Amino acid sequence: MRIASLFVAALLIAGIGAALLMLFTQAGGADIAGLLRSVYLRRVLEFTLLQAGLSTAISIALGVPVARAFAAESTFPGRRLLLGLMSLPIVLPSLVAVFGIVAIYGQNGVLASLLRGLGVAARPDIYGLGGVVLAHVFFNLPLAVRLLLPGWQSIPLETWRLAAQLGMSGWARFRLIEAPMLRRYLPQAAAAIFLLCVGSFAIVLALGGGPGAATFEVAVFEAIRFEFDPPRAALLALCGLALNLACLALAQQAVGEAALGTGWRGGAQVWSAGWSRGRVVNGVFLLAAAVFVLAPVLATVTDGIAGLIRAHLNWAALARAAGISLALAVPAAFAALALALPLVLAEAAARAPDPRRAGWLRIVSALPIAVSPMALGLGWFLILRLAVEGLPRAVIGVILLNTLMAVPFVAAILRPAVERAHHRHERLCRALGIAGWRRWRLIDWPVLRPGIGMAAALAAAMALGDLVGIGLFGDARLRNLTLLLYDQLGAYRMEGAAATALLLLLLVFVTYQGIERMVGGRAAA
Amino acid sequence: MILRRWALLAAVIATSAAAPASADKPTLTIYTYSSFVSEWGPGPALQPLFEAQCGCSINWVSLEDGAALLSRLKLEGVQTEADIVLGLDTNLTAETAATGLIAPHEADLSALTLPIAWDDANFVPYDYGYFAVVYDSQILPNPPQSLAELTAPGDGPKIILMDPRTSTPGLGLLLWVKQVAGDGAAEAWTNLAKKTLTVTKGWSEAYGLFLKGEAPMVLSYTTSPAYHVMMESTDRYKAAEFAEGNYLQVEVAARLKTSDQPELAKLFLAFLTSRAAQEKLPTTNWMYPVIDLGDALPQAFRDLKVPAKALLMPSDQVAANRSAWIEEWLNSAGQ
Repeated sequence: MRIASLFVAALLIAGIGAALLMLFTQAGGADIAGLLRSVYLRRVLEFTLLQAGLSTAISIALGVPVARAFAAESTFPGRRLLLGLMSLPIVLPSLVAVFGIVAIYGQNGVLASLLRGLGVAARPDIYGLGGVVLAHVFFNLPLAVRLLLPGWQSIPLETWRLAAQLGMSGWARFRLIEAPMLRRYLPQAAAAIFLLCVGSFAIVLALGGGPGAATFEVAVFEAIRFEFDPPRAALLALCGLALNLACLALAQQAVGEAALGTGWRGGAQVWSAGWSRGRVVNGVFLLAAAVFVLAPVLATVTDGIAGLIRAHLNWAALARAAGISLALAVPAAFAALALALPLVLAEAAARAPDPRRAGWLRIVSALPIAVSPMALGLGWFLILRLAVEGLPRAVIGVILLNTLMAVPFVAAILRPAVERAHHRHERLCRALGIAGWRRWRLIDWPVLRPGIGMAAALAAAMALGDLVGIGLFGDARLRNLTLLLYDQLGAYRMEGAAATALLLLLLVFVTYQGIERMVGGRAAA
Repeated sequence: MILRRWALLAAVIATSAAAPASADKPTLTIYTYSSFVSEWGPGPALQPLFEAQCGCSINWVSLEDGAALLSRLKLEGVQTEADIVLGLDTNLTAETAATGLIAPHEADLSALTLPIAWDDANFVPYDYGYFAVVYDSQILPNPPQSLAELTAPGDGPKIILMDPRTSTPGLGLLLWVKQVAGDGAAEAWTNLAKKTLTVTKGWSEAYGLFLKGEAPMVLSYTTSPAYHVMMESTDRYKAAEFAEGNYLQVEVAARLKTSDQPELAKLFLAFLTSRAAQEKLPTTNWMYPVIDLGDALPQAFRDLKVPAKALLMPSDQVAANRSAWIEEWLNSAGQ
């Protein structure tokens, strides 16, 4: 595992480094000094930090109680479906999300007409910092829940029983049991969300209200597209990378080394039966989060149904686009799994003997979201151009890019399960001399299977919404569902686009559930 | 290994789904923007017409937009596989010609009826339109009458704009304001920023938000209302008539020096301005044809008000000043 993980780490670093190096080799008069002095760039940096900081803080502040409620209320009917639906925003293409959010919170949205109905003169005005943060919380609250929920599930049943026997108050339980667990899980979840908000692009432009609201990625885009200055783009990407690495390192510092419980199973218990104040609070948080996250999704669905009824759809084209989406996303998901799994396994093994090594492996697994996707994509376009051409190049390029982009998410989902399994079985396996393939087949795979299923499902669902890769490696024959949606919008076909958005949503949901169950087995939740 | 096998499989699926290209026919590779070859765009309508005429097959390579085409050409240089590049506009022609990759078109353009004289030896225009403020007449019965009014100080109805760094209409408005307001452009942008709902990455998001009723005005084309009249039978959406005139966008195609199919490429450029091809463009690209179609031009287009004046800056002037003007926009609209 050690060798495999070193190999994968080298591959990831080389994959990102080669792309940026390739950009630097291109002609372009990067005025580096001028770039660093630019007033506009400083403003972009300020706005990026502000919006990403706020978005992360709010996503986490809401994510903690919601994840806690999901952990505590582990048996209510529809819990699994609710959790699945609430994960949708993580993988929603940004364009679909923007229209969903606007349908609820926009100038002409549901909220505005509610206010009008109540006779309130005020109208919601989301355009600006507020809209950007709103959209980012919409995307990242579900991610926070997904990343924090395993934390509660890692607390063994015995711990809760003991706490009850000792008659601990809610506050004492939080301070003694949950807070140490959060110190372990929270910094990484926050770092992942922060990185995503820093790299956000189309959403920031659509809801930002003006050029003052922009992220580094806009500057990278400009350098590539309008200035045609790849070295400048690479330099900007490096600036972004430095910022993100600093953030990852900070998170690394903040991670607490709370002891993992060794109990048999965690999570699957109702903490207290009957009604209590705590349970009411849980219910309120679950309901509020569900309404906040699901309202824009529901708007997408209702618009989509209206579109399905009214628009003339070319079902053959839709089916082909869906097929292409799947054919590109599924291999990317499994490739990402193949890259992330050795990294996470090695990280878990290195945790106790060599925490520094574990830390490095963790940062490497997060690298792809720390780099500008535009710069990464363009670099890889240039590299692949040397070897392949035509359709195969487009296919390999899109899959490669989506694979790289999915690795951090796959790693983040796998990590808690892998750490727990390692902690629980390592000594036993050593004592019994179970190692290698036999250990994987008999011990690790059965325990990790649900987590692996969830990670692969998430990666596939994310890749289904790809637009960056398809846009960069453009081949007229390679039109996925997201591009079809964009084409419809570009051809005034709003109703058709709404219908396609609904179909994309369904495809994402079905693919997610399908892979999670097929790979993860029955126990997946 | 798995990855490569899947790539092959996906490639096979995609190619078998695409039109079968026979091996002995020559292939003409055309770089264009994505919406040109979408189901609703001109590509699928033009392809059979041209392929019947040339005994060849067209291989479309689709990129995001006009600016992406130019940057792809710069990236690939002499190694480009393109025979034709289609979908640049007049704001990009000088920079494209400066790459040294473009060959003279050698087409007969005497039938052109563009609002401006066309003497470019490299680029063949295939459609054109005027940028315009399109408004929802049900919400806004009295739209601004001029660019000066739109960019005057004070409050006013909101408009959705596009970023000039990421979108061609966005760049069009930047040049429009510069040409009309001159040294007052910075002030005009500061004023306009107060009436701007948001500035999106591309036209699609902006127009989508507009149709959702997020703002009563959007930056688009004078020809946009023709779509709503023809396809949705509504005259609710109209283009505001501005006293100063409207900025022109002429979309062009060109052939590449490095092409191994120069004759086919010339044939295609001539085909683009033929009557057969031009008749397809108004209702697929929702732009004006570049030759006089007479009665073949749909009624909805003939009913459109033609702007008082067509504004257009020389392409080399755009190339020389674009960065500075974008900087000016950032500093005045981005506060």
